[in-house]
Amino acid sequence: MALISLPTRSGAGPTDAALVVAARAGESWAQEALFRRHARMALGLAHRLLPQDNEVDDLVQDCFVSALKRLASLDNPQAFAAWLGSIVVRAVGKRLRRRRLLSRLGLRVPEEIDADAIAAPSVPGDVAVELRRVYAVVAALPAQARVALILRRVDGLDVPEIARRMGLSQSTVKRRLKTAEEQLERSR
Amino acid sequence: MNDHDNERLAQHVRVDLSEGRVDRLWGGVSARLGGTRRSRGWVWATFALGVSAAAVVAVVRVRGAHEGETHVASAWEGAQLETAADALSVTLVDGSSLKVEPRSRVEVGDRTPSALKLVLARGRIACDVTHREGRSFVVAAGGVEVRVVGTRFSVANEEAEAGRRVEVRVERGVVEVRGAGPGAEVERVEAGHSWSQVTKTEALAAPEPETEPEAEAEPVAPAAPAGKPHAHAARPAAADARELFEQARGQWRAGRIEEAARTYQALLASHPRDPRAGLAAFELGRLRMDRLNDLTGAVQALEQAVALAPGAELREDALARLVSASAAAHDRARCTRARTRYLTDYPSGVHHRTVSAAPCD
Repeated sequence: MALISLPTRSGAGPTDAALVVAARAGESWAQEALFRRHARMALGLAHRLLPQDNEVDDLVQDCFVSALKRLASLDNPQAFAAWLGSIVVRAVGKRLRRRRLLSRLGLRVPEEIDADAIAAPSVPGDVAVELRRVYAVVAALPAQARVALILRRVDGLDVPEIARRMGLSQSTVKRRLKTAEEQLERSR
Repeated sequence: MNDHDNERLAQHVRVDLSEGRVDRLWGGVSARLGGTRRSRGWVWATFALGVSAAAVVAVVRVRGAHEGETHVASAWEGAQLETAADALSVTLVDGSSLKVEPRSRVEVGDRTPSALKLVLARGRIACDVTHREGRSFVVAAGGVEVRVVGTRFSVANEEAEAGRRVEVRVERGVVEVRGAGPGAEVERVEAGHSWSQVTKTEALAAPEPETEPEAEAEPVAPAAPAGKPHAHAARPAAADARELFEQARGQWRAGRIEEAARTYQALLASHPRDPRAGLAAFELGRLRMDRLNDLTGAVQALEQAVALAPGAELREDALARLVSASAAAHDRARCTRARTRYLTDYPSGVHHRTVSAAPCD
């Protein structure tokens, strides 16, 4: 692992905004610092949206490359994490849509999610039940409904935040959530 | 369930967030970022030799370099690239790449800022040439000249029983080929097609039946009179469409991006009516746009994807990508057309916002 020298002013290290400014100037240490600071967030988010998927690493790499190349288009450098999150969410949405198409063409075996394997071993019983219930239905949902449901039920985001992450209007998100919740209700 | 409970759910999803995984991911990201930081421009002074570990026996001889010369570019005038048992890969700073196959010799002929001529004395060279306005790129082999604008192609100059056989294969874009001999015409060879000509070693004109190619050479179309060039469609792929499709996906996952693009291209050339063709074109467009920095090629592939797309979702994605690629390539007319098509066909599409904001004008 490369050692990075961060120009810290306090124990907390530089802000995201400072790192973004440095990375925009071509400082590779700043790119690495942004990556290491947010890689686990991106990985976790991608895993929750695409559980048990062997393409998650590839997707997260794609998202970071895209984000770090497009830093100039980030209006608020301090909002790097939310911006990266929206890149991950949209990349997952695209991937899900493409997979549905492949499945329709008979080029891909429909996704199967082992809902029992989603939860960590130490998870409380009620949480495990809820996770199983959500992940038991998501494979059959349209891409947007699936992403919206996981962001709402698992990540706990509110509708305006889900709309921002997905690049949709709030009314569209509400419709997608309604579809997903109805499916969830039918599975009870 | 309230938001507090929801937050707890996210924390209990099983995910490997180990340092080792993060390190591995950063390795991939940094490698890809590093590849984008090259300065661009047709400057041979910063010629980069990308020699694979297996190709270390390649022999590179440079003639005419003057000791102590600061303008290194001149060292390449008259240079020879000669390979022994392994291939040699050469990457130019503008992103163009050359692959000199084993037992081949290439000489650098004329070279100016606006023109480059390579002379293939023997063997085979594969070229992936980045389009640059006003620059000509020519490969000469056995009196045949291949003139390029921006494309991927290969030229072979190999021994045949009746003399030497020059073959040009075009994977992407278009090249112009002028055959050997007086009065030879210029022919355009398009992607998915090849062109070949057998020339006598001493004389160019005497027509004789074309011989079978060497064992390692690729099959060609039915025999034509020797000395007379003939263009033909690319040979039928040995692999079927499903096999090619899976092969391309495997190459992509393994990080062999250029190979993946070539395989998608082969699928499109050999199985244009297969149900996978639309998706292959779309994936090829994505690779060229995101990974190979080949906007012209990306636009071409995405146009094909829109035409072939078997499903509405893919067509929508392809059309949106086409808008972005055309805008990035500064192809205003195409960008505007694609944007209008998208907004008309998908007024509530998922890419509506991005497409509307595309800088076509």
